[in-house]
Amino acid sequence: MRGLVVDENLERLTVLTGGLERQEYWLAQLTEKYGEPTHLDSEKKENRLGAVFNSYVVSWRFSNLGVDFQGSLDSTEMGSIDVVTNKGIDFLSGTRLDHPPQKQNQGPKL
Amino acid sequence: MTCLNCRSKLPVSLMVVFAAVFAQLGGTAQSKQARASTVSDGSQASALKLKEADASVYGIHLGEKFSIPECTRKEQRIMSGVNQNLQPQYTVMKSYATGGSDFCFKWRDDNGYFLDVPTQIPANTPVETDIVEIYFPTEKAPNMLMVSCAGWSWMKT
Repeated sequence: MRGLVVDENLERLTVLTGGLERQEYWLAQLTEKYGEPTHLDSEKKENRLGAVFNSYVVSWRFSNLGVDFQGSLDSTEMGSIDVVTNKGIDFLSGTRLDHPPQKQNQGPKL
Repeated sequence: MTCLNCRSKLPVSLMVVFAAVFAQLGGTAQSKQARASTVSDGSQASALKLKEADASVYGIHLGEKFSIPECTRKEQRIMSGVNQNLQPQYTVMKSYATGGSDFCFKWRDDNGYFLDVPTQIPANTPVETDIVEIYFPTEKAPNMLMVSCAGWSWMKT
């Protein structure tokens, strides 16, 4: 589980799930905790054997936080649950700690 | 002035038609305004409808001071080879000890992964702003999660 700490406060938690195989389980768990989702969609994903599945893309919005569930990520064997506070959303919209800006290639000028 | 002159020369029937058209346009504008305000009212209402959700995940509270302690750092001597006299050579590897009974966190290492202990951060330094890996103790791990090299993040299949 990953945590984002901003100004010493925990503002985001990301849990990796088991992907398409168990997405129904996680959707049921999340719906039980947060109620009916604000947005529910699905996208086609293909596994390594070429089988096509529907992968959930679900979100819940609250006054104090947002919850996003992806049935699968780039790998169909891994999904994610993302719980982030409003402050975390503000922080992420301005800064990306997981992708630090790369140094520009400072080659000779033409 | 020119316009007034033109207007004064218009036949009454055309003026009636224009008046009807303007009235229609005005009515359309009003209805658009009414719809817009309805949408606006609706969004305000939906914004007001947003409830506050439980901001904890597996007992860890979001929006509060991050109070999980750092995982215990440990050093391991690992044989890295032998010297000319065939005596073993060792390298000291610094890593985190896991398997305890409480939650703990790991800093990102010097390469940005959660594998080793970062060399630049002394033990027990409070986290100000950073991404950390949170370790789940076995007995507190939620259902459907299983251990992996990345921590308690994978589900049992």
